[in-house]
Amino acid sequence: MNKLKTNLFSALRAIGKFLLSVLKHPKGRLGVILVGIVVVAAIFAPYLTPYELDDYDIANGLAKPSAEHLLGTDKNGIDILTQILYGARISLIIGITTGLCVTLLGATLGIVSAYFGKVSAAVILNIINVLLVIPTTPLMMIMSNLSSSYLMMIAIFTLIGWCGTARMVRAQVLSIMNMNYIRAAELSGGSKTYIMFRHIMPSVSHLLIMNCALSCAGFMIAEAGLSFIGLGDPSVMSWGKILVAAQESAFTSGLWAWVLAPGAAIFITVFGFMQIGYALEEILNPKMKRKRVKHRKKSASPALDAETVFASMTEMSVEDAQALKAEFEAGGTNA
Amino acid sequence: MKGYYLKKVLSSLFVLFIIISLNFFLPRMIFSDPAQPYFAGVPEDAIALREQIREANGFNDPLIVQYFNYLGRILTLDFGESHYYKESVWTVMFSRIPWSMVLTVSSLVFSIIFGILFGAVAGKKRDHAPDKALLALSGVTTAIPSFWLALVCVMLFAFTYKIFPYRGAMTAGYTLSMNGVAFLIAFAVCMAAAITLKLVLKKSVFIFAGIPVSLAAGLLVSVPMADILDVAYHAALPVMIAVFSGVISYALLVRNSMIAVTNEDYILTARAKGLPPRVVLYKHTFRNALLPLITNVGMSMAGLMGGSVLTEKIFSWPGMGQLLLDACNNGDYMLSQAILLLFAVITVVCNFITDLVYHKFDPRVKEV
Amino acid sequence: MNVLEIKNLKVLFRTGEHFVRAVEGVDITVGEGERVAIVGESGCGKSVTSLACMRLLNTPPAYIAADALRFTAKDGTVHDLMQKPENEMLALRAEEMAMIFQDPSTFLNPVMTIGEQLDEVFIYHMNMKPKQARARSIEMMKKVGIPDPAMRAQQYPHELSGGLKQRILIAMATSCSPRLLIADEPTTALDVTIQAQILGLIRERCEKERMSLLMITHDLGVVREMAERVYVMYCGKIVETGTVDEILSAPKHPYTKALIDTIPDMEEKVDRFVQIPHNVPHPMHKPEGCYFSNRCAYCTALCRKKQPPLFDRGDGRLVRCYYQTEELWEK
Repeated sequence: MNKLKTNLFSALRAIGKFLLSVLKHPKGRLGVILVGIVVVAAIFAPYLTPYELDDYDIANGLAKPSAEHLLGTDKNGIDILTQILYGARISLIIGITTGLCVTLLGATLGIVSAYFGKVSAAVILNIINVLLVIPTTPLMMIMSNLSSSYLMMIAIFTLIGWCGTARMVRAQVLSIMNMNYIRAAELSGGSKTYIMFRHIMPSVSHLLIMNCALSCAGFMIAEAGLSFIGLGDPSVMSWGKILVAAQESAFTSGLWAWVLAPGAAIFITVFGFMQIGYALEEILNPKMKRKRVKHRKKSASPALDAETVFASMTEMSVEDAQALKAEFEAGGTNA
Repeated sequence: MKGYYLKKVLSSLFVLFIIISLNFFLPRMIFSDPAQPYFAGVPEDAIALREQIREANGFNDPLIVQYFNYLGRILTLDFGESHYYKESVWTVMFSRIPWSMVLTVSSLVFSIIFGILFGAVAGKKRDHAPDKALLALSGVTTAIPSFWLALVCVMLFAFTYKIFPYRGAMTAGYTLSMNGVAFLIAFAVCMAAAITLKLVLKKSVFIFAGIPVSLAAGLLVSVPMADILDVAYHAALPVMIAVFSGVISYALLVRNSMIAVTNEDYILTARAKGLPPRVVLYKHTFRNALLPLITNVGMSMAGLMGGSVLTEKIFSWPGMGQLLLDACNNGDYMLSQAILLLFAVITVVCNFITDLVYHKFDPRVKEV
Repeated sequence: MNVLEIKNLKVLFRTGEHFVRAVEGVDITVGEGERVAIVGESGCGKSVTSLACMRLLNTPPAYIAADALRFTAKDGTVHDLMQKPENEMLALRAEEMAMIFQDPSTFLNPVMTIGEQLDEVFIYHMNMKPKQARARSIEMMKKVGIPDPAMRAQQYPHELSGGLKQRILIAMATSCSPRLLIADEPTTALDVTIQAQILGLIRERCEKERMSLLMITHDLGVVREMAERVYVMYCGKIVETGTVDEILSAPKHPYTKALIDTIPDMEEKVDRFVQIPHNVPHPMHKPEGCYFSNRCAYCTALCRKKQPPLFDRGDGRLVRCYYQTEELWEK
């Protein structure tokens, strides 16, 4: 019981340390702040705005930004800022869920294809070949006949999107398996599962974690695009849908905020996730870690000039050297 | 060598077969009744009429018979009839394909050209202004959804400043007049010239370059200049937006591989031979650095097809993407599945071509 | 007359804000028709020295300084390589000084045919038409003993064996019959049986075209085979020079002696191979005094105190050690 407690404690501490290192990293900090803002907006949307998504006020439609409506209203008089705050919910849910699902599925299948024999490799590679040529958006448009829910979108994103991750993981695993240290581990009697978890997983995991953050970002953009062409649950507010309405009425009435704000929201979220991804890559990849240490030293020591180094590279003259030797020999005999 | 091509052809055909089969099973998964697309306009309660339609279209046959019938129809390029347009799917698609090609081909070509130029300039000297600009831009542009960029540009250039038109591929009321015979003649003449050049000078570059040049020549001869300019004017904005995001990603790719190749040993050999820097750069570095780009262009085809839906919706461009969107909204299933298949075929063919081109530039056969 | 004269050559590499001292004041001369070798362990700066002579190091990260870096061309004009602008260096490379590299499989461009790569030298240095150039390339390939050269010229590097590729590199380097040929470990990546052939070929080409040779190697066997005079390098400095026979039979620097001792004797059966203790110091953390002091069996407090200069021991032999040979071997 006590042991479990200490284990749990040390695990928590490791996680805390890791999170702290993300916060210490400049890109990571920026990413966490940006994503944090969006998460707060999504969770506390009802408290952040006095309006609701169904506050019809047609008389006050197409209003320009004002103190009452910071970003103006749409043609039904619904506050745009409110729409954006609520829209953050679906964007985050789709992005994160799909990112996680794709990474899990892709990693599993990628490792299986690289590690478990020729048959599984052939099957998975052929599936990948087929998936790579299926255009996702058109397929999703056709499938939307079946169901327009966002669950469907996540499912299709996952079913098609895993192949990129799988290819990357497979390539990485194969290149590691060719390394001599894996052969050495095999020769010294390490079992397949042992090598898998002890040697291969650690060198793939940092790629996966980064890839997960980047695919979250990618799927958020994809979700916005699909919502824009009218896919997804019509009763749920999303950033893509705000832009559809904006295209219909904002252009002619010159309501810039209506067009710019949802895009800025997408940009902030996606950019934030990407920064977190890059930060994780730099923190977790041992090759890039060294670079950062050097970077820190750089600011500490002043720049050296090649000329001064050249000038410092002088040699003793032969006479001086002989004198020094004589001196040392005299000292040696004295002692 | 022959075995390599054969393998590629077979794997492409296999992929196509899978997609065709998928197309057969999709409606049987999506709809409670696979014949539903045929019931357009038929009321729910006209059960007898519905049954009649089912019988006529073979939906009462065993599944395996239906499947083979379907394969037979696809092989004879019979996609059936569009319910919405009351025309054969082929006729409907054919009128849209050239418009989509105008957009996708020109954005792809310009993206590749400018991407290579930008990437080469950035990769030539690391940490100089163009390189830093590229890295900074790529960090930001990947996070910008390109359809939103398109919206902002439309609002700015078409509504606020009225520099570009905001919708359509031609000025309202105009139609494209094209002299088919003139096109064919010009195309044939140019292709013949390219083939003779290839046979005389024994350089297959002429074939690769000959096809686009002949197409362009054919269009120039067969379409009135005013029409070409009108289309170009309408296409300018969507193409520029597509090129903007395309250029950055291709340039980044070229830049990264340029930097990787510059550190290769054989570049040192080339320099030790006393070759002028421009020869080292273009003949040795560049040629090797472009290899990843070729594969990447092939891989990006599927995404390009999907992206066309968004662009065409924003600009009301009368292309395949818009057609697909309409077909889905109208429940015109025969049409939408044909478009899906066409997109997949285009992707497979493009992948095959990029494989050939890659093989041409890199003699080492690589198993991917 | 000296073909190549290097005086006090120093090369630095910038990493971040620090400088790595790769070469620290090296003097080397190569006479006309002479075959000279630089011997040393990997990382001692011998390849960097040769690249600096060809001016093939990129600045940055590399910084070069020298009191003199002179090259005498075929027509007798003396070129100051330190001051030469890059466009004039281009004419010197391949025409006057050429280089053969270590690993033939990575030093040939994988996407160009062998013929194309050989033709370039003739096209850019002799202003030949492509057809003429190809004829000359095939002639060159014949000279370096490549069977069926016309067919090989159409092939790509990956279709050739390592030995053939090294022959191509030799053909490429000697095609303008340069005054000086620099060979940077040309046999390290090859099978032992091929090594002898390639060394023989390099020697034969040098004698026929009356080229001087600067051979860079870590293999004392290669030195014995190829060179007349030897420079032994350690940690960016020359520690001993002399003729091959003198150095190999009577080494005067502890490092040279240690190197020779590591060669296993074919006659004797030993339990353990002779080793030099410890490793070459990291270029950023070289020892305070003599760079070899931490591995030297004869090291004294004096050695740890200060780096000794090169002492002239007569007969043109220079040794970087405080102690006379007799003093050392006594200890």
